[in-house]
Amino acid sequence: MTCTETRRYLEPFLDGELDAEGNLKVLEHLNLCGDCNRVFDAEKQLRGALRDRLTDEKAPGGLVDRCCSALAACDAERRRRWIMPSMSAVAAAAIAAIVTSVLMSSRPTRPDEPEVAALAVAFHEANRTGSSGDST
Amino acid sequence: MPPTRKDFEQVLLPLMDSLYRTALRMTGQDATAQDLVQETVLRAYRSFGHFIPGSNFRAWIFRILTNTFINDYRRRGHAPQSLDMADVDPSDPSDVEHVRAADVEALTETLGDEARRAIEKLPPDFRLVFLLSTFEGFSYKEIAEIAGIPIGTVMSRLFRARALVRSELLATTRGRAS
Repeated sequence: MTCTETRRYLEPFLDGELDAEGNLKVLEHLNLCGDCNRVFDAEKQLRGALRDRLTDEKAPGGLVDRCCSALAACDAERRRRWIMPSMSAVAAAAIAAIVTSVLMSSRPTRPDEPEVAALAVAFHEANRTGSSGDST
Repeated sequence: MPPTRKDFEQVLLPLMDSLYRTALRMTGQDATAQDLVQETVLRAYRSFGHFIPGSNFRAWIFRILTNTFINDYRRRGHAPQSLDMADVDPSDPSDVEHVRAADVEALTETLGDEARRAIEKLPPDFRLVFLLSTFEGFSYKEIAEIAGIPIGTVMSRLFRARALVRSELLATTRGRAS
């Protein structure tokens, strides 16, 4: 492996992204080449220093509390949404039962028979007169 | 049995520092970062039923953080003033400046603030892959999933981002030395 190739593979090598063969080739070159080895050491140190300095920030305690409260509120909202439709289903069934019973009781159990009979006779008469009129 | 809030908190709480740190570097402001984390946590909780137990929760929630940032925060301009994409055109890798041991020694003295500034100057797409790799230790494949980009793009962004951070830090150190 040449110096140019090694420098190109140095970052994936440091990131642990090369396969076994790639790792071996880079290591082999680093053992033989002082220049590349110095670049490698400095890069590794810089990464370590960056990680040390910039990963010491912790999530503020208030944020963790806020998130936990928000999750609890989310659960309460879910429960409310679950209970409300169940309650409205019960309420709807009750209303339907009441309306049905009211309708059933207010509706006459039998049609007004004399009235229907009079209408039927009148209709029949009218038809009969109409058809005899046509035939003459 | 569906997952409970306790199950969710158990996997979430150990990641709060990482989520906050990444949100802070992406937004540049503590209050905005906290809002972004809270929104991410709520969204993740609401879709926790779709999360496949045993798969990578950390990558999953970072993906939600990334999407929330891109959709809700970046559009509203909650991001540090960064470089133009034109400033980070890919060039020949052999042109890239490398650090020397002496530079690193000089840098470590005052690395904190300068490194923060150098990272915040990166365009958001480049900053994200840099943070996920350097500080959170995600693999290229995981970063590709989190950011929704091909692995080749992860590698090129990471390469350019590191080169930019390095040259910013070197410019500061060498400028201070002269």
